[in-house]
Amino acid sequence: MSVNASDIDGNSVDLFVEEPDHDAISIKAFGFWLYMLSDALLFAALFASYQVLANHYAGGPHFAAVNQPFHQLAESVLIFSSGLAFLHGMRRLGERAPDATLVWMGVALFLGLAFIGIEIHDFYALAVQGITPLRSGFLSIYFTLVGTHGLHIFVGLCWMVVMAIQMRTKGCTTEVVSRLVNLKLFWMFQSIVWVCVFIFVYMWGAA
Amino acid sequence: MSFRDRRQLRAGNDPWEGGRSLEWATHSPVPFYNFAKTPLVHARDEWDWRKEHGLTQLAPERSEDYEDIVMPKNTAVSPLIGVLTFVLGFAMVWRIYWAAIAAGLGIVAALIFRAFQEDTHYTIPAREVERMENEIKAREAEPETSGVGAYAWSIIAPTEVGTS
Repeated sequence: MSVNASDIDGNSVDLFVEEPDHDAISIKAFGFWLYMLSDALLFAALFASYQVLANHYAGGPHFAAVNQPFHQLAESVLIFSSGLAFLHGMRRLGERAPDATLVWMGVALFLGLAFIGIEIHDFYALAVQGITPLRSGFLSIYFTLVGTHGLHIFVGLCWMVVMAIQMRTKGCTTEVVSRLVNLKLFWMFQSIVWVCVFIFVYMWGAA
Repeated sequence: MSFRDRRQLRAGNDPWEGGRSLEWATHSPVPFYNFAKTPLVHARDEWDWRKEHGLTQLAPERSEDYEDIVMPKNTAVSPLIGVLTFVLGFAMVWRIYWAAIAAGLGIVAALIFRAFQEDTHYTIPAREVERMENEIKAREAEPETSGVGAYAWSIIAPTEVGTS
């Protein structure tokens, strides 16, 4: 029921919002999208710092020491496959098949775990050689940039576990679906950041 | 500014009468539900637009136009995350890594706990909104002759009470 009033010219004007939260999922997704933009700013600052510090070796190891082309190729394949698996799971959710969504989210989780496993393995292999963030400006920014992306991947994986539990315990409520949509945004965004890491760190460094 | 003449000088909701945006349209002090009914926005400077068009009545006039308002409940999770974030920052600056890890895990645990909370909102019934709104309007219409302020005033300057 709308509430009208007449203005001074005698025109009828609607005074109030009738259904303030008609589409809770898209409102929350928009809010999360803005939040992801702030995450994009964070990564932009890290990439800019990387460009500044990339040659500051301080007599320490050069880029070749951290470059593992086949590992980074495998990581790329894993992160993009994980994104695809998650997207397909969300498609199945749209087809009212939440059990299939759970399976595909499990696949995405497994591929993401493999990604983070390779990264931790590489970081550990560098650390035992004494190649740590404290060694030089280049290594500080390298570990910060790649590590921040890895931390995002880890957060995304934890998020997937929580969502799997909530899908089982709460069912597909508006709130749960809204969180899955936001997780999809988050997970796609990490793939995009990885494209930038691959280009501006690994390809640019090897060139 | 005068404490003695505060009743005569009491500021209204739009004290300079030049307020252009919606924060000047609600009551002052602002009730915890902000607006009795969410106003529909017609212009960038909505309050200015409404004053131009003679539509300064913000609360519904008819009793049946009031609606329930859904409000978020208070939660201890957000201040807890604030405290833990302070601990995390302090521990990282001074390289107390065990504390940093504990605070970091605590923040994540608090977030996950919050994600599992079901009962996070409550509803103010339409009748209750109407009652509070009428109470505020009555208070705005009359000089301050009751309440804590008036009581203090009656001690300081008894003869002034009731005049405005």
